[in-house]
Amino acid sequence: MNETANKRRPDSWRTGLVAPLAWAASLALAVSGLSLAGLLTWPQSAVIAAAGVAPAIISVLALAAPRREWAQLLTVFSWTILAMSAVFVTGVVSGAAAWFVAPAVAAMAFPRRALISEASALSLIGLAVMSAMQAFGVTLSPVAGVGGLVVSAAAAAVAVVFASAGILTAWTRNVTQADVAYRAETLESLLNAAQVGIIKTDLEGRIQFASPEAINLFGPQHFEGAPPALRDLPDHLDDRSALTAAMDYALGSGAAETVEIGARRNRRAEVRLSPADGGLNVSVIDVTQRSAREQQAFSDRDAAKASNDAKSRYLAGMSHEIRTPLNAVIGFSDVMKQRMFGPMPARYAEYADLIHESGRHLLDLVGDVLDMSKIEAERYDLRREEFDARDVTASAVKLVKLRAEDTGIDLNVETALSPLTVNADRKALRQIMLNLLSNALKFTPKGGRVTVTTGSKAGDLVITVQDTGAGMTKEELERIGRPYQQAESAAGSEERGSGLGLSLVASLVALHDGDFELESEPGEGTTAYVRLPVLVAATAGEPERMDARARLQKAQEAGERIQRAAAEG
Amino acid sequence: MLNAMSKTVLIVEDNELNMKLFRDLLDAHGYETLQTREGLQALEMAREHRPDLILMDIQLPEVSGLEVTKWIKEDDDLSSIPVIAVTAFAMKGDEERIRKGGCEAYLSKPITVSTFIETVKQFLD
Repeated sequence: MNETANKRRPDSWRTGLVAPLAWAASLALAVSGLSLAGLLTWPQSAVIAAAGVAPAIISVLALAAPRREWAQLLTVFSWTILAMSAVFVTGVVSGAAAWFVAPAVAAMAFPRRALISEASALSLIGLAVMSAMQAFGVTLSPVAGVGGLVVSAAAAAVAVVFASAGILTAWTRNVTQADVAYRAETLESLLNAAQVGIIKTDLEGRIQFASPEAINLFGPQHFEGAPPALRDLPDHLDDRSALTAAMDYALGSGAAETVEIGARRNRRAEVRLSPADGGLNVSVIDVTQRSAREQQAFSDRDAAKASNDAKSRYLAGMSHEIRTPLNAVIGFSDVMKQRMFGPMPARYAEYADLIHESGRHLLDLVGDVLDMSKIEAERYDLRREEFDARDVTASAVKLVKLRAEDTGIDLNVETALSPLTVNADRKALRQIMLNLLSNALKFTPKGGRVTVTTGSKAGDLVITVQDTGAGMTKEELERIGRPYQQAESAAGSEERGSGLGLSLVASLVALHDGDFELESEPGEGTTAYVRLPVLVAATAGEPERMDARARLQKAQEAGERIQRAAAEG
Repeated sequence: MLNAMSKTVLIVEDNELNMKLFRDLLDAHGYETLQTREGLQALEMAREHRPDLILMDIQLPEVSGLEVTKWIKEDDDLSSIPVIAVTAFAMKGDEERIRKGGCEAYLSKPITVSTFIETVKQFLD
């Protein structure tokens, strides 16, 4: 099926050969006739024949390289020269003008159409030159008299006949064929250069054409005998069935289908099947390297995931192991703290308290690590229930209130007055609240202020925790939410957490499909915003809630009114 | 505390320090204690001594505390003895799993002394 592909010479070569030969034959016939009739001497005949045949020979030779410009020009030039010589020899421009058709006819043998107009232009120039010469009386006519006229007329007649025939055949066959051949050759050279293989099949999937790259990709052995079926090209059975399924789909649906299959010698091919008239147009790309890269990426990802899972399991196991001795530390120190077995010296009592406190702190850290590892291992399941978010705020505030008082921080709480019924994981919400609060307290110096608000906005639960602490740089902010990279602030408190607090907040918020944002600048304090789409309809459907501060004010006013009423009553 | 003298608590715990902590706490509140670090022995001791309460560690070396609890609850003579699970398993759903396993109460490690005592008293007083 690639018979044409292997044939280097275009079809135009054959037709291009016929014209000059026909010319040479008719010229020989005319010259011999004239010589026999005594109108030309034999030497004259020989010169005319030689001059006439020369361009024909040049044309034939030039056709061996039909794409070369020099070959094309040489041919056209030789015919132009012949035309001019003919005019010279006959001495009459008007009668010999027909000769100037010859270059254009000769040009038709070549696959470049522009050559015809170039040849015609050249002929016109020649004709103009000859006419100008005649006008100025410059004529040379070695074959003068009756003989010259007869030769001129005969030659012109032959030329006109030949030209008409040439034009007719050229326009109907030669040029079209040359053009088709040229296009075919262009396509062929493109197909040879392309890294895409092209296959054409009939409706049964039998291959009608395959480009060299396609043959190379599936192996030349398939193409040695009768044209193979496309579905038989892959070596492996499952590749064959995948290809067959894709072909059936493409032919059945009329839509293009792409399938990746194995080709020869462990190569992978991406086959795109486009339904076309009477079969499939198939393009084939070697995707061996891409496929290998994908495989590598997959296995890298699996390995990374496995190692991360192992890490998470280890952390989970480890924090469990840590809890067991912590039970003794916290439990015994708790016993001492409660002076269960009687009093002890004050200093020892203080130490016992410190041990207990440190044990509790350590427990919190372990809890953070465990939660983070559970979240990372995607084993943290939310246990949603309905409750009032304000209760969570209240209990979290209660837990840190003492600490705020101890460190001289003004803890300001603004909470919505109506219930904020949410459907969320209570423990997670509490942890979000506690982590934000303890983070704010941790980085706020004595005399600072921490403000926590709990309210609703556009149907979502919104929590903000604002502090007047050290703030964070842009770089530190970027690290938040990336676990295990603690933001280290130069102005930060001595107290250090697991560094997971805000990462945990980010993860727990994400588990609730909410948003978590931090706004901060060094020295300007930090504001944490949490928006959670957890409000249940009854609460969310309430008319637009007023600002927390306004509500607080209203509440205070209401309180005052009640007090006044009570006093008056 | 004298009124509690007759009450006996069986502690099933494989960690020595935790065992000591629980024993001391219960001693301090006037309860008798029986101790074992092994699930099978726990069942035997429960049959032999009929304690008033069992403190059951869930992670035991051979048989899980949940398994032992199941045996106790399946045994008609023993099923009335309340079992308090004490575990460091603080995973989500653990409490539910433990309660479903037949334990009457659940304490997570590390314990808070006051909660511990309150929970125990709840079943003994």
